[in-house]
Amino acid sequence: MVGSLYILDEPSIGLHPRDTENLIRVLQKLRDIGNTVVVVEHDEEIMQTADEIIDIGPLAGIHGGEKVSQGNIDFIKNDTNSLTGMFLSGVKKIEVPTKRRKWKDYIEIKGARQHNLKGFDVKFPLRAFTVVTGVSGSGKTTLIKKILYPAIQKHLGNYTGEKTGAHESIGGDIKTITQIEMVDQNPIGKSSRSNPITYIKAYDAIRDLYSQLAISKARGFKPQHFSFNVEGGRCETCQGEGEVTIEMQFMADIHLPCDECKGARFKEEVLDAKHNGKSISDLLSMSVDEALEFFHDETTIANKIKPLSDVGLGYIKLGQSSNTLSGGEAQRVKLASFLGKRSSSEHVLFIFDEPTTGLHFNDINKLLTSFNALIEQGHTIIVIEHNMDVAKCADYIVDLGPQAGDEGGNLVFAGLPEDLVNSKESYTAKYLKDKLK
Amino acid sequence: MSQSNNKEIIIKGARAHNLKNIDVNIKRNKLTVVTGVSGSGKSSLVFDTLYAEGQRRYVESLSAYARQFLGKMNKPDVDYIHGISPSIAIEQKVNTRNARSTVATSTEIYDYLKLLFARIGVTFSPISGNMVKRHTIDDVVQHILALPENTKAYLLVTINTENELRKQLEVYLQTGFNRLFLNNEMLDIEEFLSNDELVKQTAKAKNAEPLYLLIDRFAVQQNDEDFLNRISDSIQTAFFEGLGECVLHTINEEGKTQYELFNNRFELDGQKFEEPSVNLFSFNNPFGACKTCEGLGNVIGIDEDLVVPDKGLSIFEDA
Repeated sequence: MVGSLYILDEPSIGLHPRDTENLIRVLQKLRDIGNTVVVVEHDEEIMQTADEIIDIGPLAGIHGGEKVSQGNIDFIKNDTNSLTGMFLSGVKKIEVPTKRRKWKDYIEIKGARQHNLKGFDVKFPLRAFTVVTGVSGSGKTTLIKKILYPAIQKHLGNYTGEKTGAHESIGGDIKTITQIEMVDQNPIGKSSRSNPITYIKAYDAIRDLYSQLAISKARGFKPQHFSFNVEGGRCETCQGEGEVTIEMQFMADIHLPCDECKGARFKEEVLDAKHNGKSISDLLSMSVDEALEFFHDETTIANKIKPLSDVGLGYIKLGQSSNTLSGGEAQRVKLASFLGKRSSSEHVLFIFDEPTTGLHFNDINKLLTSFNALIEQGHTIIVIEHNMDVAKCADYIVDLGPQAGDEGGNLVFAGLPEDLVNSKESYTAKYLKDKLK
Repeated sequence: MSQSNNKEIIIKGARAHNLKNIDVNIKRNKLTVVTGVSGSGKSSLVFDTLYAEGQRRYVESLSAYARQFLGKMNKPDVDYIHGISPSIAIEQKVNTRNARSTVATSTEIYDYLKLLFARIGVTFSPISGNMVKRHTIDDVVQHILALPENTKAYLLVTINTENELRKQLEVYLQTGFNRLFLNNEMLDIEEFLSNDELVKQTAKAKNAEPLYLLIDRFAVQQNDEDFLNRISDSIQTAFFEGLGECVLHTINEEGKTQYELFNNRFELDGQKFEEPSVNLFSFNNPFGACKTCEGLGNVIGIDEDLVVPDKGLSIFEDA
């Protein structure tokens, strides 16, 4: 088919740099036979081969939404307004950590042989940052999601519903793990009623605060009156949604601001309750950073909101419904909710499958900061990743391969990123070398 | 949309989500990358504006009736988009966690494979090992023409003797058939009917030599147009009278007789077969799918690891 417009959403996801080269050839072929190809992408290699780059930004959310720059790769690189350009030209970059964490506790899987895995033994350090790499189909996901995750789940006594992949045994310091979490980029809730502030459980504290106000006591408002999810305080016309949806049969639905509460989501008498001049509705339309300042004196609330700002989500509105968050944002809200728990007795093993999907260089930086914060709290992070910027920051790399399918499934390398570079067999080594210079 | 100055797709005043009323030109027939930090509005521009408009223009061209079955497309918040072509969006999301979705089904190769297997599929009878075929008139004609010149042949149809034989024969008589074939001999229907004893005997007799209705008899003649037309006609009549089945009785030069059964019902050796069909080659169709696993390839059972978490212990030791 010729003359079509092809739109691709991050085709490089899940591809090892070696596979990306093949993808680029396909994209160029599509273009050469007379099609228009538009790709949403963060991958540097694909940007290098593009005829034109459009940079949207400069930042996210309300600080974004503008065309920052447009031109070929050389133009973008020299455009100081473009954050992307700054990363491409190396003015800004993701720093290689100066020292790697030392670790002594570990989990060991012996004789992993599910699917194409060839029965090797592998260690995963605890309280450190491990990256699992390898070309597509080399067995990364099988090792982590089919063996490690279910095996630990079973160890913790949780039922996973899935059979654990074939392996001989799992051992090491497995007893120190109290919880295992698989964090993905799936939306944190499709419901328009879920939002970041409810997800990190900070809303309960805020509702308590509002119910303690003098006017609330006088009018008998309880914390539930400040929830837009239950009857009582919410506007009943829109049932706390702030907008009304009108079905138009075969035409797209129309969303109109609720004419009763004018989008405020609460009844007027509830809105009268003001803390430092702000009603509950005003609060929900504040950004995280604004709220941090606002709750300056309320340390409990501030401490709960702070992780959102730490993971780089200072710009999102507290009441922004979860279904409008991007994949990367949703992932970071999840991280923030763990950061906010701050309990020292817990040792959570986090598993991430390609957390950099959809993330810009700048976002990856923020993600790595969040990872470090979690490890500082005594948690463990294992990441399946192709992004070499992430791999170079690992404390420990597990490289599978060397090829895909039957020719993969071997443990090619396990150890420090600096040592992986010297591996002759590893495809990853070749691409990692450039990043560690 | 004029095609002349169509070097670019022009997006004017895009305001979807957080987009700040921006104008973007995208060069046609080029590879363009859209980038920016997460949440900066890349997807809003590309998917919620560009793709949405491309799709919407297509969907709007359908009737209101057809549109109600399609997913609703929101009209993008944009002033105008110029020079857009039919758009195809490829997302990477794995939306189907369905065991019935395979590489072949999602690339639609499977549809062609099913058709290919159904069309070239040949059925063999497990009883005789011969190919099962639905005989056409032409097949019978070819068979006859393959016989040596002047071979005597009788085209016959088996008569079901279990029903009221007399009535049946009277109907045949009225339709214009005159002769029967019994024990390698021809006899007139009228003659047969006048012999009450014989009629009764034939009606009762089971597993005896079957009673045939004679449709036509001829000596094989090669290269004769008239002969060809005549036997084609006769075979058609035979298939009709015999409910898709007919018998060719031949006597060769040495006087040896031979019966050859033809049918257009996809049968062989008395066994009815399933004709290869598209459904037969689909694991998603009860026709073709394995009855036990319903075409999934594996069945839900018990996880031994869960039943016995620690294999080192005996049942007595509370395994």
